[in-house]
Amino acid sequence: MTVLAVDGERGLALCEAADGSKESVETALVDAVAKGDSVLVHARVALVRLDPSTADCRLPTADLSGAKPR
Amino acid sequence: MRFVDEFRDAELGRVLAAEILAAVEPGRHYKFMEVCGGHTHSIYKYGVDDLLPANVELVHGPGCPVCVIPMGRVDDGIAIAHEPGVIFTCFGDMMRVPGADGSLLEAKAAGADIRMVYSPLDALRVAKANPDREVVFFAIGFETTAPSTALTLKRARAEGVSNFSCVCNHVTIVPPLRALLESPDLRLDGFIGPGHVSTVVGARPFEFIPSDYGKPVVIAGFEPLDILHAIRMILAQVAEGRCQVENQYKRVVPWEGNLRALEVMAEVFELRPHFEWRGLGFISQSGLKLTDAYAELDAERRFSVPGIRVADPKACQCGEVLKGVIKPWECKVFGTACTPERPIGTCMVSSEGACAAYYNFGRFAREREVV
Repeated sequence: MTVLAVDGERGLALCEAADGSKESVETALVDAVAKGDSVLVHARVALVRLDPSTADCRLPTADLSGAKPR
Repeated sequence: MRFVDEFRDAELGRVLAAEILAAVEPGRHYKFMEVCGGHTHSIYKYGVDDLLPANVELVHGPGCPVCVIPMGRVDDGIAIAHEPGVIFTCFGDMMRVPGADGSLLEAKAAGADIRMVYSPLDALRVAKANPDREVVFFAIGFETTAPSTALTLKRARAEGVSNFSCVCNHVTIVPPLRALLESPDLRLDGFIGPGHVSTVVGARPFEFIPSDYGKPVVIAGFEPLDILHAIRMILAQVAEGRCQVENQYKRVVPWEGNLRALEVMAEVFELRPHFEWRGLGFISQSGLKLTDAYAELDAERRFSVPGIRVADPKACQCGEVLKGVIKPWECKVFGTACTPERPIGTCMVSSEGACAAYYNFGRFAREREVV
């Protein structure tokens, strides 16, 4: 889900899913989130904050011999 | 959507499928278990199975949270739901799981106040809105869902919400895997490790699989390219004679897991000496219960529950399906007496159940065509 707004005081973030639905998510179990972050949410609790800047987020096919780089 | 669309690229899927085909040894049969019900769902939703060579077989493990709940626990939930003044809350899938004498949905139809929630936090909200009623949450799930329950219970205690309690059916993933590996029924060549559970527990807990049983494990994401990539990584380990835990789902799964989530779970839960799994029987130290510090929020201590073990219906072969011993379509009642509309077994209830995945995506049977 994508973070739309953060309520740091209450440890909540308003998040939007791929289908456009929105929900309030607990952020107590992840590092501080900011607007625009992607988070993995389970049962209204954020379990992971995804970091697109790390190499770990590259496509799994980047190391395939036959695949074109993207 | 970022982190999703790029993992559904059909062209790259074909590249991966070709690499898998090139990696398999002709004449050798490979049997890999995907542990997580989410993987089972994706495999059939996206037709991943059809992209694999005929000698690569995927078997489906016990990682669907709803599927492993035994009938006796459903009956315990129904007994609490019928207590006067109780509002009973649970996830939607759970409502349709059959107990010995009907499901929670049928109990609701008979007059019990049973409500579907998306999160235990929603159940806590119901409790705060209904201070004169007892609100009970029927908690199910592996380590993915347990942190949410733990956080809710911590909050309930901190806020002094005295009319809230929880029936804890949370389970842990490692003990059933060990039980499966000890089973003489099943010969496996490797595991597609559970992506979501691993976000919480990390990769380390699976190291016993290569070290004690000599099987490779690749923790995988849930998009079709993730699963194909994981299969290719397992095949590479097999071909190179390596045997280790690898993490294909690095964009989500940290090797050490989510330490905050593990901490909150350790504060609220402790292991039960043993817990019954549907089809797998009693497995030592595989279920969680509330610690004494949270005893006042434990519905099993607050209410009287039957606690009776109930045998599965004779016609139902969920146990064999959960152990990967048979395919869903090999069950006698699959698609006839047992359908998603009228399930007999749990595997037909949840979208993550192997039987429901086969049924909903038209995999009624039979041998796969050779790619």
